[in-house]
Amino acid sequence: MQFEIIKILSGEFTNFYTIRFDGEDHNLFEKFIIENKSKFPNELSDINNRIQVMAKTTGAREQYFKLNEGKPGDGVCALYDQPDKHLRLYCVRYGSVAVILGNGGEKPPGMIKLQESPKLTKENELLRKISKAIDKAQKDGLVEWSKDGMEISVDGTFIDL
Amino acid sequence: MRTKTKNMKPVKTHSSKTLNDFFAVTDKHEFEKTEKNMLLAMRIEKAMKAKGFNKTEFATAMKVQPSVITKWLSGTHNFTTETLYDIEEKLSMCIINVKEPDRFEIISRSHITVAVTSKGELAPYCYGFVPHDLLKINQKTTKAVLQN
Repeated sequence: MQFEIIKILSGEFTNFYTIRFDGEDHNLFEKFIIENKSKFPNELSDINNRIQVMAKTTGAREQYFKLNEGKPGDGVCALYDQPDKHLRLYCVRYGSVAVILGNGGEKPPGMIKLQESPKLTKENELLRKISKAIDKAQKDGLVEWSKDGMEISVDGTFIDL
Repeated sequence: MRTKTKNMKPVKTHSSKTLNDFFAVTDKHEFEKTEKNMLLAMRIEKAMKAKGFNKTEFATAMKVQPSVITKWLSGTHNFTTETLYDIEEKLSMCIINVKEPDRFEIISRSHITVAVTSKGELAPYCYGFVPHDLLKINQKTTKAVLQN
């Protein structure tokens, strides 16, 4: 299975990317939007506002994310929403200047462990695999970051998962 | 082993109706509120670091759990004014300014005239005081012209 990294939002302080799998029409973040827009429009609006603020004003500061949602050091984290924190969006954060937005889903009320939600578990595990694949591709010289860390370059188009 | 190739290129930028609709900021008021909340959280975090506090130490100083500090710094928290006053005190920062703006006392007045010569050049003392009897108003252009 292969995927490509695509940029979806450029900002002075942070660039936002997402992932599209070969053969699929929608990327991961589009799927997140489509799956949640009718039930959680306010939460999605809040997530948009937070992403825009990070891109244009503050950068993707660590404090804005729920960290350690993956394995130690893989950068997998989650972005909260307001007002009632119904959604969880999984991301891979590369410092404060680049974020890969994945998918996520509804956070059931009272959920304490990730494993309580099959959907969130699936999306979280997928992003962990993606993060690991990008790290490997970087070590193999197939993915490069610009000096300021904001831009990603890839050898070819697709990366092996 | 890392090998350099000639196919390295920046990832492409993608847009779609789904993404464009999502990123369109429809409620300016809500966006500005979010921006202020996140900027406030950023200021508090920077002030904590300047004071040498980590989260646990600041939680102890504020007599709350570290998870409360995490929430404060997330940019999603609605603070009470009492909490903000406590934070101001502990971090020696000003978040809320409730004083009336200072009234300015006028201590001197100056009249500055900018003058041009009849040739349209700046008079050599155009930034200083020019006695009014040296000026003749050009009735057509209403511009003040220095009399030679």
